[in-house]
Amino acid sequence: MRSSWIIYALAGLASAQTLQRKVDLPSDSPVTLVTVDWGDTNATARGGAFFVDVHASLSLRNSSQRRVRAITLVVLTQEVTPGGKASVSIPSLDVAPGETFPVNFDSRLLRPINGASPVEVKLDGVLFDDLGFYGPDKLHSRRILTVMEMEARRDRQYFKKVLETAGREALQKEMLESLARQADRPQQGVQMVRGRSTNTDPERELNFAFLQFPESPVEAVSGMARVAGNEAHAPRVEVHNRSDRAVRYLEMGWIIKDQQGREFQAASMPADVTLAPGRSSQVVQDASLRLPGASIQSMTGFVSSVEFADGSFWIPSRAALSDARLRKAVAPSPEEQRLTHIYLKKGPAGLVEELKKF
Amino acid sequence: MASVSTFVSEAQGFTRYDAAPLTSEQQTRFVNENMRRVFLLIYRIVGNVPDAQDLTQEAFIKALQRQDQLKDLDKAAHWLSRIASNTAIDFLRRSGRVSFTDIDELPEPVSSSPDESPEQLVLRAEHREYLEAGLSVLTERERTALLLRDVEGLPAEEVAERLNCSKATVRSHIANARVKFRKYLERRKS
Amino acid sequence: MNHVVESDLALYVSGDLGLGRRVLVRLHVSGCERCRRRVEAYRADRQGLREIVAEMPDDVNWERLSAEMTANIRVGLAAGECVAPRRRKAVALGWRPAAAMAGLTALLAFAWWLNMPPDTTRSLGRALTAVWHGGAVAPERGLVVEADASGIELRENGNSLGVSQGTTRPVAVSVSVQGSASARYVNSETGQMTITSVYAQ
Repeated sequence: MRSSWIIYALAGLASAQTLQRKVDLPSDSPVTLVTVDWGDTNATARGGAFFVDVHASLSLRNSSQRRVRAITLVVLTQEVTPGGKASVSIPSLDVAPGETFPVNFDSRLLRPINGASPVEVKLDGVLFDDLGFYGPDKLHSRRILTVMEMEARRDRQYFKKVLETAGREALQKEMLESLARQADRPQQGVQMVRGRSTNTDPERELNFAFLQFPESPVEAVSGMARVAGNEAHAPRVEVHNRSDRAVRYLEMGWIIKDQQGREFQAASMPADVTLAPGRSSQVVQDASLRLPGASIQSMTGFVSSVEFADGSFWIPSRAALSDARLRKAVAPSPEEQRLTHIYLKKGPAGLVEELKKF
Repeated sequence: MASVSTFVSEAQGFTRYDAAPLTSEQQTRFVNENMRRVFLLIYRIVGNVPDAQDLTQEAFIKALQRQDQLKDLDKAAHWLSRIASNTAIDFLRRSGRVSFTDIDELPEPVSSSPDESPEQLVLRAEHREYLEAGLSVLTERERTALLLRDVEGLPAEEVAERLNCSKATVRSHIANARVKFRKYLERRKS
Repeated sequence: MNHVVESDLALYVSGDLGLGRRVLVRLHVSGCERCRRRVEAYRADRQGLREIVAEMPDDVNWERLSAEMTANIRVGLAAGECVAPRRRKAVALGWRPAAAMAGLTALLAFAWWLNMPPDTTRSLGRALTAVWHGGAVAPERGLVVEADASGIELRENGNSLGVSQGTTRPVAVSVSVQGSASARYVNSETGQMTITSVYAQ
């Protein structure tokens, strides 16, 4: 039968390349590989390239003397060409020395049909409970994991305080309100394009409004982007360091309001800067943000994290983030989402147990 | 991508032609308008608040996931209560608390007390307490059959379908439930 | 005097006796004070039952409970979307032969696709995308990272270079103007968060 011949031919093609896979951790890595299960990891051919569907379940051991709080692994099929790299980060861990923990990964990556390189899992960084860091940090894991850990501590402290001062019912109320906000956040797809936009609609300059945090070391003074329809291109923001410490990096949240009046955080704007105390600088991004199915009416920015030259960080306090618009538009921290999930699954008793662990 | 529902008003109410998903606002309204009634029905079937809460949530989630089955919004309340009672009954089955199967023979009729006559009770709260307690002396089969027949107003055939037993069995459950209930009230009063 | 059996009186009040029996009971009740009072008692019980069942138990804080249930329903619906099949169409038996033909056609098309030069497949892909969207989509150029409710993706000239999709929908997605997209997933058993990212460079 012709159909069975074609099926046979396709099966042969798919397995033509033997797929090499490896987990590559440095010899002095604070985490060691216990087991890895590659599951359904396989290569499929499409046009001039192979896709690799990576499904990996790793079990890692904390072989250091400190508690591990977070980790980022990078999965590579090719180092240089786009499409060959993805990462997986696990925040809010609390792995004691000697303990093991799981890391799961599901992604489709690209690699050239002629390439013989294996699928590699490498370590980009490990964060410890003293906020010490280990790793090559090629994906800026130190920054990302440290900010997440600081947010996690801030939010856990907040919920513990609610429990202590106002009791379980108040904590439950917080959980329910957080869940309701998470469910109500607008589901809007966002595309980010590096370089010039393809939109031919007439552009207009649209200014940013800013939500200011009085305690923020960096103030966003003014900003604008060129907007046409559902695209915003080349955002630029003037920032001012009002602290007495040099700043080397900052990240801003970019909130957009669409024609229906829905507000949501469309993107984040990270920027490496050199900002001495009291100095100002322009942050410019050569990128276009596109919102399928929506049109951009207004934009609001806010400073979401700052890294000082000495490697320490600032993040907004819980009080600062309690602004009604921010609560509606911005996703809660990964830790808050994790806690609300525990509340859903295990109830208030389970949540209280979890909060006691930290 | 959400499509726009087309609603056409007819003499009896609204009919959904394209069975497009309910909007978020419609879903919220549906939940708000029916939650109390559904919760109370399930609570009376399973007899405790925590289970009733879980099952009420489950019933609404099921209903909203199956909204494409609902062609006529007029019948939404009935359709929803069907899902609700089925959810509660399935729970009782799963938890092994009751077996909703046919019984081979009808039980002996419960004997009556012909010398006592019913009496109007004066205090409403006391009366209510007696009624609540009266429900608790019934078996779960009897209570469920009674609630579906007398509170939900379902015909005996439909109660039988929901309990997965014969109409004769349902009738005997209902009869036993009412007689036990009455006897209990008379005992409490005297 | 023989009175009506208690269970028959109980069923009589809701019309649940067979027709013959119902007529007999009605005849008896019309001439018997005792049985008439029993019937009234059963009717009152039915009404009383309806009244108490409509009342909330005293120990229930309905405002809080209904708010909690409403929130849980919302979350349950959102969670249910990721494990439910995307399409839930009833398949009639007569569809099977057509499905087999469609499957064979798809295989043939795929084989043909594989044998085409890469540039052709990409432009064909874009054309198909345009047709799918009613011809209104401008061709996508350059590297694009996209984040939406189903996950994150990296594309070049409209062709997917990489996607990140767990077995469930992400609980949050984000895009960075520096050219990456991230998706957060929650492990339904442990609550552990996993954040996957794809990079444009």
